[in-house]
Amino acid sequence: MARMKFLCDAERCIECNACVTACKNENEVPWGVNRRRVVTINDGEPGEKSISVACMHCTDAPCAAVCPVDCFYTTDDGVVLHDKDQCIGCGYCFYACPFGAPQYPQASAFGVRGKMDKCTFCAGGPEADGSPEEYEKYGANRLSEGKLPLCAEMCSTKALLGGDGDILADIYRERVLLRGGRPQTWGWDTAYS
Amino acid sequence: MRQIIACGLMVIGSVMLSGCLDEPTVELHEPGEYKGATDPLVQLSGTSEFNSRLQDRLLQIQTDR
Repeated sequence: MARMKFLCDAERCIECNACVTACKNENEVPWGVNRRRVVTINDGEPGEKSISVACMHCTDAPCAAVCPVDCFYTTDDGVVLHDKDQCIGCGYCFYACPFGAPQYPQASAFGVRGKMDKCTFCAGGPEADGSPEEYEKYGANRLSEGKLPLCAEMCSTKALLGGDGDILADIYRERVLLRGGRPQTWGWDTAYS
Repeated sequence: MRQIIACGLMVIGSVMLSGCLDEPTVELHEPGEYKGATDPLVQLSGTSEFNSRLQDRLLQIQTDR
């Protein structure tokens, strides 16, 4: 069975932030929330590396383990989603997630947190697929239309890949072989090989 | 007298060190049962037709040029 995953090739990412923009535009992400972010290591120095980070849709998701109202569920192809009607905005998932994926819009004054928002792998939420209610709460449901997350589909250098993990692994393995066969993600000299 | 003071210091020291004990067992949490509404995508996502459609899309759009 397919298992949906994201993979970011640090050798190809040029920190253009187009994935961030595409995500915000496609899903009408509220102000103050970035479902996807580009992180750069050694920014401004020769050899800097960037990767695009969002929810990694963990197999054993810590956010789901700590949720006191059990609002998380996982689809058969491994996409971790949540129900905003159940969410109480407690912030436990934010502390549990190693990637900082769950975020909260500033819903009102005095820093009161709204419902948790995170990357849905463009798979919406529990409302009817493609409905206005689903779009308002979770953004686009591209998966039900047979499409993959827009951030990955429109990445100009194909650094960010999203889809069946087995196919992504094959694509990445071929790239590594073309680059010279060293089995590591970081420290390559040649990009776009 | 010195022995009593030494014994007293040892008792106080051992009591203070007992506060530094670290419990090695870690409590692991398992996810509970989902309590929200049913997502129609969950039924769709397990089917082979749905998976092959997404795989075709991946090979069509995200492979190297």
